[in-house]
Amino acid sequence: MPRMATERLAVRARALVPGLAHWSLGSRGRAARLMLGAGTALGVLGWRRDRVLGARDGSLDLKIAVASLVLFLAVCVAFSWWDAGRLLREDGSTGSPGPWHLAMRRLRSNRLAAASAWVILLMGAGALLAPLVAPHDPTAIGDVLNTRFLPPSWSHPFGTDQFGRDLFSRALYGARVSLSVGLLAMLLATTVGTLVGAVAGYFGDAVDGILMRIVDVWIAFPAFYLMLLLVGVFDTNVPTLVAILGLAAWPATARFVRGEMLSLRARDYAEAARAIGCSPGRIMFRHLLPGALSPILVTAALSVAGMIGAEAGLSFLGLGIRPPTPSWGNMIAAGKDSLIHAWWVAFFPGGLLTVTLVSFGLLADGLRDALDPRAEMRKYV
Amino acid sequence: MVKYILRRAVFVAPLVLGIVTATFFLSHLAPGDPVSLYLEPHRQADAELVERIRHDRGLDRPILVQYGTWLRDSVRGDFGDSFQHRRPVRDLLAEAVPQTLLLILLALAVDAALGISLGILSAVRRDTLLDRVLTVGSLAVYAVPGFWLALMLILVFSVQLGWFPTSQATSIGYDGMSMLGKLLDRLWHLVLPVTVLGVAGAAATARYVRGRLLDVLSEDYITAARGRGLRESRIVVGHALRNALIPIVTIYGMSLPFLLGSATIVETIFAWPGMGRLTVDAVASRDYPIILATTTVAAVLTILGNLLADVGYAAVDPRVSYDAAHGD
Repeated sequence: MPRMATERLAVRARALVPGLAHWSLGSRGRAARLMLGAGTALGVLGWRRDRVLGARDGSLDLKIAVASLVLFLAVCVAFSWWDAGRLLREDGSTGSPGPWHLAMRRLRSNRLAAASAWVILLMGAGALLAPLVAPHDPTAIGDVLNTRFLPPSWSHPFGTDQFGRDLFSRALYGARVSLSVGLLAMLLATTVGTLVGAVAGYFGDAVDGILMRIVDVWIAFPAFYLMLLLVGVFDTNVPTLVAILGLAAWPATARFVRGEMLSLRARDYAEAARAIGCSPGRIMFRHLLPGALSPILVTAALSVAGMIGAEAGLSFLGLGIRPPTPSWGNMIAAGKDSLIHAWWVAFFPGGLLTVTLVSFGLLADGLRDALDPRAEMRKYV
Repeated sequence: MVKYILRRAVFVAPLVLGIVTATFFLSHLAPGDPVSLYLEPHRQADAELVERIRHDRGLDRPILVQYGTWLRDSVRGDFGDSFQHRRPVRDLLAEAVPQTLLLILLALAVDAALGISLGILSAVRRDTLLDRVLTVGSLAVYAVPGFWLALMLILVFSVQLGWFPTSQATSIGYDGMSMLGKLLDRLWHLVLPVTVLGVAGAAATARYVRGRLLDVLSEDYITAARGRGLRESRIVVGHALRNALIPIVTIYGMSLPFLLGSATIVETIFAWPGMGRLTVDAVASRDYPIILATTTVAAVLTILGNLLADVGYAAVDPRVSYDAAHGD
């Protein structure tokens, strides 16, 4: 239906408040999500206005937290404006959806996977915004005699540890370390694995032979032993730990990407690309690799869980992230000694860790189903 | 069959060579003077001591000669002396490796018993509430980090209920016990570590068995068996399960590296005198001869596990020909 120019202008103006225009255009679900997102961000900014205003002379972490929150608000407004414009032009009707769109729709309809994605987002937001939302300073040692080993309460949701530090705040800061180490190590392992696998699978012959023998030997080492060996050789801090985890884990990705490349390079379209004179790099990365993207994504989601678990394991053993920097692993280790009289010290970080790992597992499961076009077919067979 | 095993075993030799080579070069990755690896940490190092170690360890010789020596010694199982224990690493390994293997084998048994029965239950009752609870539950159990599970089990079963010991492989009065008493005491100490080590695998096995069994149950020969009027329990256990379980041999072979990895943490928590705890202690105190030795042994065990799984697969699946060279 055609709209008057003034009416369109009114809608565009309303779109500057995230979600308002969507609501009047009938896209209620998206409107609610936009309002919730922007509202929460504004709410946090208002709730912690003293910390936001003090960010100028605050720590770098605090500045990043405030900046990301403001950026998120800006993205909400920009998206609302852009998407309302799109809705006005197309008047709500969308063309035939592409494969990624369909996959996204399948992922959303999988309730467990969708819930996991939200849990991960929430955990990530909590980690990123820790300096803003944490109720206490994670390293502040209180009046030790009166505040040590307090059981969970409203002011200390996860209780306090042997130094009287607030465990909820520590868990939020611990999430920063655990999640970022996990994500970065996954990125490293996936990138190296994909590159090696693609090169081996595409070129075959001697290149393949040499690279895969290296992979064979590498895979023979139990990953955790390899990590222990490397941790023993290098001093651990966040960057070296990321490198160690990533380097211990890449061969699994390399092996299956190679398998995918072997089958993809024999396809007609690969032959066609070669015939028109594409360079090997272009064929590999523009033509073939997109075909292997789905399993790479699924493996990546699973490997985040593996990396977070490995970091937690190393830190638990006292060989990864060292106190006083909180990570879930070393928090659980600290709780080990006070298990008998203060169960909460080990319970809550472990609980968060478990929820995170389960979420990544369920998300990977959901991704596998959503990215496999045959999954849709199977419903009707 | 013997020929098949031999042919598979031939592939093991270059892999072991690769492993030993990799540990050698990984240990030389360390920044700084390699002598520092062999110097006990925090000990005042005078120039004379450094020179003596350099000479004793052969670090003053060309790297290829060092590599050759390392190859010769490690293949013989000679990994030098431990700094902290002041004993040959070989003796330490001889004590620790059987303890770890015991843990792992029992964990695999728990894994198989629990995983297969829950998988069958899930498949037979597919799409019921029980199936859904088992499916989601197994994913959760699979994802629970072993060390946290261990602490929670200790909290409930050792601290609160007092049923099982919190650590060690034997009780204090172990030496004075009768044979039966010793056996029971050992089993009693094994319950918690084996549970922690076994349940994650059991969860994976249950998921796997469920999927495979559902696939197999839709095959024609099952329909034929149903047509002949066999009892459903007999069809599932006698006909379907046998086929569904064949690839599980491979899965168990592949799970060995993960079990070895988890065992390091489980052994540390329960103070179990295995090679995992030996390694963790060695890393903490930078006892390099031990770290290099256990890493090598763990990798060789993994390869032997894979070999065993391959041979086992050929043994249980009549479709695999032992003489691939002549067949196909």
